[in-house]
Amino acid sequence: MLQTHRTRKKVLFIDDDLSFLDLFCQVMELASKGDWQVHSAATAGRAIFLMQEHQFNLVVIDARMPVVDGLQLLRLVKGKFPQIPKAILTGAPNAADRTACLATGADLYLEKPTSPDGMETIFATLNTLAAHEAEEGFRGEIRRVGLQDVLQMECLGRKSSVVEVQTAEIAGEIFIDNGNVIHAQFKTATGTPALFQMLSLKGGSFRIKPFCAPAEVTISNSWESLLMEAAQMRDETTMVALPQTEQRTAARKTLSSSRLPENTLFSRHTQEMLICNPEGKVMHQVDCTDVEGRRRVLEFVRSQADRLGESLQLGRLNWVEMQMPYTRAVVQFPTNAAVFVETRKVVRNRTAKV
Amino acid sequence: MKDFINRWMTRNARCPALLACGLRHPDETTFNQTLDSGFPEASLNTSWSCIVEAFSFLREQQPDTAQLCWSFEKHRIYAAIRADQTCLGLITKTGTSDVDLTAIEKILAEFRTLRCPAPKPVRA
Repeated sequence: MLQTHRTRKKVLFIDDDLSFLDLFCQVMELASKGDWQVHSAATAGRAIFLMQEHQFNLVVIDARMPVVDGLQLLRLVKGKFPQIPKAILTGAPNAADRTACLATGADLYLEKPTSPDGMETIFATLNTLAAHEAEEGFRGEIRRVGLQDVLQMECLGRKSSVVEVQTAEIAGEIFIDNGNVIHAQFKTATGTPALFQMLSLKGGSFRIKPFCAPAEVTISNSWESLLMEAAQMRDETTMVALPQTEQRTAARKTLSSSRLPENTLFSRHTQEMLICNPEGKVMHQVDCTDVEGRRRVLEFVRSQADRLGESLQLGRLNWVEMQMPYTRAVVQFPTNAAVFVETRKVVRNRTAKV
Repeated sequence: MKDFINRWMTRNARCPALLACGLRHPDETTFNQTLDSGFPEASLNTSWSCIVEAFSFLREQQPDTAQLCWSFEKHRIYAAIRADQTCLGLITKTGTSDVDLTAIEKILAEFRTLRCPAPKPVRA
Protein backbone atom coordinates (compact mmCIF):
# COMPACT_ATOMS: atom_id res chain seq x y z
CA MET A 1 0.00 0.00 0.00
CA LEU A 2 1.27 3.43 -0.85
CA GLN A 3 2.02 5.49 2.21
CA THR A 4 2.17 9.24 2.17
CA HIS A 5 4.21 11.25 4.61
CA ARG A 6 2.67 14.50 5.76
CA THR A 7 4.80 17.23 7.31
CA ARG A 8 2.96 19.64 9.58
CA LYS A 9 3.64 23.30 8.99
CA LYS A 10 4.84 25.21 12.00
CA VAL A 11 3.14 28.57 12.41
CA LEU A 12 3.85 31.17 15.07
CA PHE A 13 1.34 33.83 16.10
CA ILE A 14 2.55 36.84 18.08
CA ASP A 15 0.02 39.10 19.79
CA ASP A 16 -0.14 40.81 23.19
CA ASP A 17 -3.94 40.41 23.26
CA LEU A 18 -4.08 37.02 24.96
CA SER A 19 -7.80 36.43 24.56
CA PHE A 20 -7.62 37.10 20.80
CA LEU A 21 -4.38 35.08 20.52
CA ASP A 22 -5.89 32.06 22.23
CA LEU A 23 -9.07 32.12 20.15
CA PHE A 24 -7.25 32.83 16.89
CA CYS A 25 -4.75 30.00 17.45
CA GLN A 26 -7.54 27.52 18.17
CA VAL A 27 -9.51 28.55 15.08
CA MET A 28 -6.47 28.38 12.81
CA GLU A 29 -5.44 24.98 14.14
CA LEU A 30 -8.96 23.65 13.59
CA ALA A 31 -9.14 25.16 10.11
CA SER A 32 -5.86 23.51 9.18
CA LYS A 33 -7.32 20.09 9.99
CA GLY A 34 -4.09 19.05 11.63
CA ASP A 35 -1.82 20.45 8.92
CA TRP A 36 -0.55 23.22 11.17
CA GLN A 37 1.33 23.00 14.41
CA VAL A 38 0.43 26.32 16.00
CA HIS A 39 2.68 28.13 18.47
CA SER A 40 1.96 31.42 20.15
CA ALA A 41 3.89 34.18 21.87
CA ALA A 42 2.60 37.24 23.70
CA THR A 43 5.90 39.14 23.60
CA ALA A 44 8.67 39.77 21.11
CA GLY A 45 11.22 38.11 23.41
CA ARG A 46 9.23 34.90 23.63
CA ALA A 47 8.74 34.95 19.86
CA ILE A 48 12.47 35.24 19.17
CA PHE A 49 13.15 32.43 21.63
CA LEU A 50 10.64 30.17 19.88
CA MET A 51 12.07 31.03 16.48
CA GLN A 52 15.49 29.92 17.67
CA GLU A 53 14.01 26.66 18.93
CA HIS A 54 11.83 25.81 15.94
CA GLN A 55 11.96 26.16 12.21
CA PHE A 56 8.72 27.94 11.40
CA ASN A 57 7.01 27.96 8.05
CA LEU A 58 5.20 31.18 8.85
CA VAL A 59 5.26 33.94 11.45
CA VAL A 60 2.21 36.17 11.97
CA ILE A 61 2.82 39.38 13.93
CA ASP A 62 0.31 41.76 15.48
CA ALA A 63 1.06 45.29 14.33
CA ARG A 64 0.38 47.02 17.62
CA MET A 65 2.15 45.66 20.64
CA PRO A 66 3.73 47.41 23.62
CA VAL A 67 7.53 47.69 24.09
CA VAL A 68 8.47 46.18 20.73
CA ASP A 69 5.78 46.92 18.17
CA GLY A 70 4.96 44.82 15.12
CA LEU A 71 7.13 46.78 12.73
CA GLN A 72 10.18 46.60 14.99
CA LEU A 73 9.69 42.87 15.54
CA LEU A 74 9.24 42.40 11.81
CA ARG A 75 12.58 44.12 11.24
CA LEU A 76 14.22 41.88 13.85
CA VAL A 77 12.74 38.72 12.35
CA LYS A 78 13.73 39.75 8.84
CA GLY A 79 17.34 40.28 9.94
CA LYS A 80 17.64 37.12 11.99
CA PHE A 81 15.39 34.72 10.07
CA PRO A 82 15.15 36.13 6.54
CA GLN A 83 13.94 32.83 5.11
CA ILE A 84 10.72 32.67 7.15
CA PRO A 85 7.57 34.08 5.46
CA LYS A 86 6.05 36.86 7.56
CA ALA A 87 2.56 38.33 7.82
CA ILE A 88 1.29 41.34 9.74
CA LEU A 89 -2.12 41.25 11.33
CA THR A 90 -3.72 44.49 12.45
CA GLY A 91 -6.98 45.64 13.98
CA ALA A 92 -6.59 49.14 12.49
CA PRO A 93 -5.21 48.92 9.00
CA ASN A 94 -3.95 52.06 7.24
CA ALA A 95 -2.03 52.80 4.08
CA ALA A 96 1.09 54.18 5.78
CA ASP A 97 1.44 51.12 8.05
CA ARG A 98 0.84 48.81 5.15
CA THR A 99 3.57 50.46 3.06
CA ALA A 100 6.02 50.41 5.97
CA CYS A 101 5.35 46.76 6.80
CA LEU A 102 5.63 45.54 3.22
CA ALA A 103 8.81 47.59 2.76
CA THR A 104 10.25 46.02 5.92
CA GLY A 105 9.80 42.50 4.65
CA ALA A 106 6.22 41.48 5.40
CA ASP A 107 4.77 39.20 2.77
CA LEU A 108 1.20 40.04 3.76
CA TYR A 109 -0.55 42.87 5.57
CA LEU A 110 -3.95 41.65 6.78
CA GLU A 111 -6.81 42.99 8.83
CA LYS A 112 -7.77 41.01 11.92
CA PRO A 113 -10.87 38.96 11.15
CA THR A 114 -14.07 39.64 13.02
CA SER A 115 -16.34 36.98 11.52
CA PRO A 116 -16.15 33.24 10.82
CA ASP A 117 -15.94 33.98 7.08
CA GLY A 118 -13.10 36.39 7.74
CA MET A 119 -11.29 33.68 9.73
CA GLU A 120 -11.63 31.27 6.80
CA THR A 121 -10.29 33.85 4.36
CA ILE A 122 -7.36 34.65 6.65
CA PHE A 123 -6.60 30.95 7.07
CA ALA A 124 -6.65 30.32 3.32
CA THR A 125 -4.35 33.30 2.69
CA LEU A 126 -1.90 32.38 5.45
CA ASN A 127 -1.93 28.73 4.44
CA THR A 128 -0.92 29.68 0.90
CA LEU A 129 1.92 31.78 2.28
CA ALA A 130 3.05 29.00 4.65
CA ALA A 131 3.19 26.59 1.73
CA HIS A 132 5.67 28.77 -0.12
CA GLU A 133 9.28 27.74 -0.08
CA ALA A 134 10.75 30.63 1.78
CA GLU A 135 14.40 30.27 0.95
CA GLU A 136 15.88 32.05 -2.00
CA GLY A 137 17.49 30.02 -4.72
CA PHE A 138 16.52 26.84 -6.50
CA ARG A 139 14.31 24.21 -5.09
CA GLY A 140 14.65 20.61 -6.12
CA GLU A 141 15.86 17.19 -5.27
CA ILE A 142 19.44 16.07 -5.37
CA ARG A 143 20.18 12.41 -5.67
CA ARG A 144 23.48 10.55 -5.46
CA VAL A 145 25.07 13.41 -3.60
CA GLY A 146 27.42 12.70 -0.74
CA LEU A 147 27.10 14.42 2.59
CA GLN A 148 30.68 15.60 2.13
CA ASP A 149 29.57 17.44 -1.03
CA VAL A 150 26.87 19.21 0.94
CA LEU A 151 29.32 20.20 3.68
CA GLN A 152 31.86 21.35 1.14
CA MET A 153 29.23 23.50 -0.56
CA GLU A 154 28.22 25.12 2.72
CA CYS A 155 31.79 25.63 3.93
CA LEU A 156 33.18 26.94 0.65
CA GLY A 157 30.29 29.40 0.54
CA ARG A 158 31.18 30.43 4.10
CA LYS A 159 27.59 29.86 5.12
CA SER A 160 26.04 29.47 8.55
CA SER A 161 23.58 26.63 8.76
CA VAL A 162 22.63 23.41 10.48
CA VAL A 163 22.75 20.35 8.25
CA GLU A 164 20.25 17.85 9.55
CA VAL A 165 21.13 14.29 8.56
CA GLN A 166 18.46 11.65 8.68
CA THR A 167 18.67 7.89 8.27
CA ALA A 168 15.82 5.45 8.70
CA GLU A 169 16.27 5.36 12.47
CA ILE A 170 18.61 8.12 13.53
CA ALA A 171 18.97 11.85 13.03
CA GLY A 172 22.06 13.94 13.51
CA GLU A 173 23.08 17.55 13.09
CA ILE A 174 26.16 19.34 11.82
CA PHE A 175 26.54 22.99 12.81
CA ILE A 176 28.35 25.26 10.36
CA ASP A 177 29.21 28.79 11.42
CA ASN A 178 30.53 31.12 8.74
CA GLY A 179 32.01 28.23 6.77
CA ASN A 180 33.49 26.41 9.79
CA VAL A 181 32.16 23.14 11.14
CA ILE A 182 31.84 23.87 14.85
CA HIS A 183 29.73 21.06 16.25
CA ALA A 184 28.16 17.73 15.34
CA GLN A 185 25.92 15.34 17.16
CA PHE A 186 24.84 11.88 16.13
CA LYS A 187 23.36 9.21 18.37
CA THR A 188 25.17 9.68 21.66
CA ALA A 189 28.35 10.99 20.05
CA THR A 190 29.33 14.62 19.66
CA GLY A 191 32.23 16.43 17.97
CA THR A 192 34.46 14.79 15.36
CA PRO A 193 33.38 11.19 16.19
CA ALA A 194 29.78 12.19 15.47
CA LEU A 195 30.80 13.97 12.27
CA PHE A 196 32.83 10.98 11.03
CA GLN A 197 29.97 8.61 11.83
CA MET A 198 27.63 10.72 9.72
CA LEU A 199 30.16 11.04 6.90
CA SER A 200 30.53 7.26 6.83
CA LEU A 201 26.79 6.70 6.33
CA LYS A 202 25.99 4.88 3.11
CA GLY A 203 22.84 6.87 2.52
CA GLY A 204 20.10 8.96 4.04
CA SER A 205 18.62 12.38 3.58
CA PHE A 206 19.70 15.84 4.59
CA ARG A 207 18.06 19.18 5.18
CA ILE A 208 19.79 22.51 5.51
CA LYS A 209 18.25 24.51 8.31
CA PRO A 210 18.91 28.08 9.40
CA PHE A 211 21.86 28.39 11.74
CA CYS A 212 21.29 28.39 15.46
CA ALA A 213 24.14 28.32 17.94
CA PRO A 214 24.83 24.85 19.38
CA ALA A 215 24.92 24.25 23.11
CA GLU A 216 28.67 23.71 22.83
CA VAL A 217 31.46 24.07 20.28
CA THR A 218 33.15 20.69 19.92
CA ILE A 219 35.03 20.97 16.62
CA SER A 220 37.87 23.33 15.83
CA ASN A 221 39.65 21.57 12.93
CA SER A 222 39.43 23.07 9.47
CA TRP A 223 36.62 21.59 7.38
CA GLU A 224 39.13 20.57 4.71
CA SER A 225 41.14 18.42 7.09
CA LEU A 226 37.94 16.94 8.54
CA LEU A 227 36.67 15.94 5.10
CA MET A 228 40.04 14.56 4.07
CA GLU A 229 40.32 12.53 7.25
CA ALA A 230 36.81 11.20 6.78
CA ALA A 231 37.60 10.31 3.15
CA GLN A 232 40.75 8.49 4.20
CA MET A 233 38.86 6.59 6.88
CA ARG A 234 36.18 5.65 4.39
CA ASP A 235 38.71 4.52 1.81
CA GLU A 236 40.56 2.45 4.33
CA THR A 237 37.32 0.86 5.48
CA THR A 238 36.20 -0.09 2.00
CA MET A 239 39.65 -1.04 0.78
CA VAL A 240 40.49 -3.50 3.44
CA ALA A 241 38.27 -5.92 5.32
CA LEU A 242 38.29 -5.71 9.07
CA PRO A 243 40.63 -8.61 9.83
CA GLN A 244 43.27 -6.99 7.66
CA THR A 245 43.38 -3.82 9.73
CA GLU A 246 45.93 -5.40 11.98
CA GLN A 247 47.84 -6.56 8.95
CA ARG A 248 47.93 -2.99 7.63
CA THR A 249 49.36 -1.77 10.90
CA ALA A 250 51.94 -4.50 10.75
CA ALA A 251 52.78 -3.57 7.17
CA ARG A 252 53.25 0.06 8.10
CA LYS A 253 55.57 -0.99 10.88
CA THR A 254 57.50 -3.17 8.44
CA LEU A 255 57.92 -0.28 6.04
CA SER A 256 58.86 2.19 8.74
CA SER A 257 61.22 0.01 10.68
CA SER A 258 64.09 0.43 8.25
CA ARG A 259 64.03 4.21 8.60
CA LEU A 260 62.84 4.98 12.08
CA PRO A 261 63.78 3.90 15.58
CA GLU A 262 61.74 1.01 16.93
CA ASN A 263 60.71 2.72 20.10
CA THR A 264 58.44 5.27 18.51
CA LEU A 265 54.78 6.06 18.26
CA PHE A 266 53.21 7.73 15.27
CA SER A 267 50.34 10.01 14.68
CA ARG A 268 49.48 11.97 11.56
CA HIS A 269 49.20 15.71 11.46
CA THR A 270 48.03 17.69 8.49
CA GLN A 271 51.00 19.66 7.29
CA GLU A 272 49.57 21.58 4.39
CA MET A 273 46.52 21.77 2.21
CA LEU A 274 45.54 23.38 -1.06
CA ILE A 275 42.15 23.53 -2.77
CA CYS A 276 41.78 24.74 -6.33
CA ASN A 277 38.76 25.10 -8.56
CA PRO A 278 38.58 23.11 -11.84
CA GLU A 279 40.32 25.99 -13.67
CA GLY A 280 43.30 25.71 -11.33
CA LYS A 281 42.53 28.89 -9.41
CA VAL A 282 43.51 28.65 -5.75
CA MET A 283 40.38 28.75 -3.60
CA HIS A 284 41.83 27.95 -0.21
CA GLN A 285 45.18 27.00 1.25
CA VAL A 286 46.52 26.14 4.68
CA ASP A 287 50.25 26.36 5.42
CA CYS A 288 51.12 25.62 1.81
CA THR A 289 54.78 26.46 1.35
CA ASP A 290 54.77 26.17 -2.44
CA VAL A 291 51.30 26.95 -3.75
CA GLU A 292 52.40 27.06 -7.39
CA GLY A 293 54.25 23.74 -7.05
CA ARG A 294 51.27 22.02 -5.46
CA ARG A 295 48.97 23.50 -8.08
CA ARG A 296 51.20 22.00 -10.75
CA VAL A 297 51.04 18.63 -8.95
CA LEU A 298 47.25 18.74 -9.05
CA GLU A 299 47.22 19.60 -12.74
CA PHE A 300 49.78 16.95 -13.56
CA VAL A 301 48.08 14.20 -11.57
CA ARG A 302 44.77 14.99 -13.22
CA SER A 303 46.25 14.78 -16.71
CA GLN A 304 48.15 11.57 -15.94
CA ALA A 305 45.02 10.07 -14.39
CA ASP A 306 43.12 10.81 -17.58
CA ARG A 307 45.81 9.01 -19.59
CA LEU A 308 45.91 6.05 -17.22
CA GLY A 309 42.16 5.77 -16.99
CA GLU A 310 41.87 5.87 -20.76
CA SER A 311 44.51 3.26 -21.51
CA LEU A 312 43.25 0.72 -18.98
CA GLN A 313 39.56 1.71 -18.64
CA LEU A 314 39.90 2.15 -14.92
CA GLY A 315 36.93 4.45 -14.39
CA ARG A 316 36.89 7.78 -12.60
CA LEU A 317 39.85 8.70 -10.42
CA ASN A 318 39.07 8.68 -6.69
CA TRP A 319 42.40 9.72 -5.26
CA VAL A 320 46.16 9.42 -5.61
CA GLU A 321 48.41 8.79 -2.65
CA MET A 322 52.11 9.61 -2.62
CA GLN A 323 54.18 7.99 0.08
CA MET A 324 57.36 9.51 1.36
CA PRO A 325 59.38 8.19 4.31
CA TYR A 326 57.97 10.67 6.81
CA THR A 327 55.05 12.20 4.96
CA ARG A 328 52.13 11.20 2.83
CA ALA A 329 50.32 13.36 0.32
CA VAL A 330 46.86 12.71 -1.05
CA VAL A 331 45.34 14.30 -4.12
CA GLN A 332 41.60 14.18 -4.68
CA PHE A 333 39.25 15.64 -7.24
CA PRO A 334 35.81 16.03 -5.70
CA THR A 335 33.14 17.80 -7.75
CA ASN A 336 34.32 21.25 -8.80
CA ALA A 337 37.55 21.14 -6.84
CA ALA A 338 41.05 19.71 -6.71
CA VAL A 339 42.49 19.04 -3.27
CA PHE A 340 46.08 18.45 -2.17
CA VAL A 341 46.72 17.42 1.44
CA GLU A 342 50.03 16.45 2.95
CA THR A 343 50.19 14.78 6.34
CA ARG A 344 53.29 14.27 8.42
CA LYS A 345 54.11 11.35 10.65
CA VAL A 346 54.74 12.80 14.05
CA VAL A 347 57.31 10.67 15.78
CA ARG A 348 57.16 10.52 19.52
CA ASN A 349 59.52 8.52 21.69
CA ARG A 350 57.54 5.94 23.60
CA THR A 351 59.56 6.44 26.73
CA ALA A 352 59.27 10.21 26.66
CA LYS A 353 56.97 11.87 29.15
CA VAL A 354 53.90 13.31 27.47
CA MET B 1 69.99 -6.86 -13.27
CA LYS B 2 66.99 -6.67 -15.61
CA ASP B 3 66.65 -10.44 -15.81
CA PHE B 4 67.11 -10.73 -12.09
CA ILE B 5 64.26 -8.29 -11.37
CA ASN B 6 62.05 -9.91 -14.00
CA ARG B 7 62.61 -13.29 -12.36
CA TRP B 8 61.98 -11.78 -8.96
CA MET B 9 58.65 -10.38 -10.13
CA THR B 10 57.60 -13.70 -11.65
CA ARG B 11 58.32 -15.44 -8.38
CA ASN B 12 57.31 -12.84 -5.82
CA ALA B 13 54.69 -10.48 -7.23
CA ARG B 14 51.83 -12.67 -6.11
CA CYS B 15 48.95 -11.77 -3.89
CA PRO B 16 45.19 -12.28 -3.80
CA ALA B 17 43.11 -10.13 -6.18
CA LEU B 18 46.15 -9.09 -8.22
CA LEU B 19 44.99 -8.65 -11.81
CA ALA B 20 48.20 -7.57 -13.52
CA CYS B 21 51.69 -6.44 -12.75
CA GLY B 22 54.59 -5.14 -14.74
CA LEU B 23 58.06 -3.68 -14.74
CA ARG B 24 59.44 -0.79 -16.71
CA HIS B 25 63.21 -0.73 -16.86
CA PRO B 26 65.39 2.36 -17.27
CA ASP B 27 66.00 1.38 -20.91
CA GLU B 28 62.20 1.59 -21.40
CA THR B 29 61.76 -2.14 -21.93
CA THR B 30 58.89 -3.72 -20.07
CA PHE B 31 57.98 -7.06 -18.57
CA ASN B 32 54.33 -7.78 -17.80
CA GLN B 33 52.23 -10.49 -16.22
CA THR B 34 48.48 -10.42 -16.62
CA LEU B 35 45.91 -12.54 -14.86
CA ASP B 36 42.98 -10.77 -16.47
CA SER B 37 42.28 -10.34 -20.17
CA GLY B 38 41.18 -6.75 -19.59
CA PHE B 39 44.79 -5.60 -19.42
CA PRO B 40 46.46 -5.93 -22.84
CA GLU B 41 50.23 -5.60 -23.04
CA ALA B 42 50.15 -2.35 -25.01
CA SER B 43 47.83 -0.66 -22.48
CA LEU B 44 49.99 -1.82 -19.60
CA ASN B 45 53.11 -0.44 -21.28
CA THR B 46 51.39 2.94 -21.76
CA SER B 47 50.39 2.90 -18.11
CA TRP B 48 53.87 2.12 -16.80
CA SER B 49 55.20 4.92 -18.98
CA CYS B 50 52.64 7.31 -17.41
CA ILE B 51 53.62 6.20 -13.95
CA VAL B 52 57.34 6.62 -14.55
CA GLU B 53 56.60 10.14 -15.83
CA ALA B 54 54.56 10.75 -12.70
CA PHE B 55 57.41 9.63 -10.44
CA SER B 56 59.80 11.82 -12.36
CA PHE B 57 57.53 14.88 -12.07
CA LEU B 58 56.53 14.32 -8.47
CA ARG B 59 60.10 13.76 -7.36
CA GLU B 60 60.89 17.28 -8.52
CA GLN B 61 58.26 18.47 -6.05
CA GLN B 62 58.64 15.76 -3.39
CA PRO B 63 62.12 14.29 -3.78
CA ASP B 64 61.48 11.26 -1.54
CA THR B 65 58.37 10.01 -3.32
CA ALA B 66 58.83 6.27 -3.20
CA GLN B 67 55.39 4.82 -3.72
CA LEU B 68 52.22 5.87 -5.46
CA CYS B 69 48.72 4.53 -5.28
CA TRP B 70 46.23 5.57 -7.96
CA SER B 71 42.76 4.68 -6.85
CA PHE B 72 40.23 4.64 -9.66
CA GLU B 73 36.58 3.69 -9.64
CA LYS B 74 37.22 0.14 -10.82
CA HIS B 75 40.88 -0.58 -10.21
CA ARG B 76 43.78 0.53 -8.13
CA ILE B 77 47.38 0.82 -9.29
CA TYR B 78 50.17 0.51 -6.73
CA ALA B 79 53.57 1.58 -7.97
CA ALA B 80 57.09 1.86 -6.61
CA ILE B 81 60.31 3.06 -8.16
CA ARG B 82 63.86 2.03 -7.37
CA ALA B 83 66.92 4.22 -7.19
CA ASP B 84 67.99 2.80 -10.57
CA GLN B 85 64.63 4.05 -12.00
CA THR B 86 63.10 0.61 -12.50
CA CYS B 87 59.39 0.89 -11.87
CA LEU B 88 56.99 -1.78 -10.64
CA GLY B 89 53.23 -1.54 -11.03
CA LEU B 90 50.56 -3.75 -9.49
CA ILE B 91 46.90 -3.59 -10.50
CA THR B 92 44.10 -4.78 -8.23
CA LYS B 93 40.37 -4.28 -8.05
CA THR B 94 39.05 -1.33 -6.05
CA GLY B 95 36.77 -1.81 -3.09
CA THR B 96 37.22 -5.52 -2.58
CA SER B 97 38.21 -7.10 0.68
CA ASP B 98 40.19 -9.74 -1.25
CA VAL B 99 43.08 -7.33 -1.70
CA ASP B 100 45.84 -8.12 0.75
CA LEU B 101 47.41 -4.78 1.41
CA THR B 102 50.09 -6.24 3.63
CA ALA B 103 51.25 -8.44 0.78
CA ILE B 104 51.25 -5.48 -1.59
CA GLU B 105 53.21 -3.29 0.78
CA LYS B 106 55.68 -6.13 1.25
CA ILE B 107 56.14 -6.61 -2.49
CA LEU B 108 56.69 -2.89 -3.05
CA ALA B 109 59.11 -2.57 -0.13
CA GLU B 110 61.07 -5.62 -1.22
CA PHE B 111 61.21 -4.38 -4.82
CA ARG B 112 62.66 -1.03 -3.76
CA THR B 113 65.44 -2.62 -1.73
CA LEU B 114 66.14 -5.55 -4.04
CA ARG B 115 69.83 -6.18 -4.72
CA CYS B 116 71.26 -8.38 -7.39
CA PRO B 117 73.37 -11.06 -5.69
CA ALA B 118 77.05 -10.96 -6.57
CA PRO B 119 77.99 -13.67 -9.07
CA LYS B 120 79.50 -16.76 -7.46
CA PRO B 121 83.25 -17.07 -8.04
CA VAL B 122 84.06 -19.62 -10.70
CA ARG B 123 86.30 -22.42 -9.47
CA ALA B 124 89.35 -23.00 -11.55
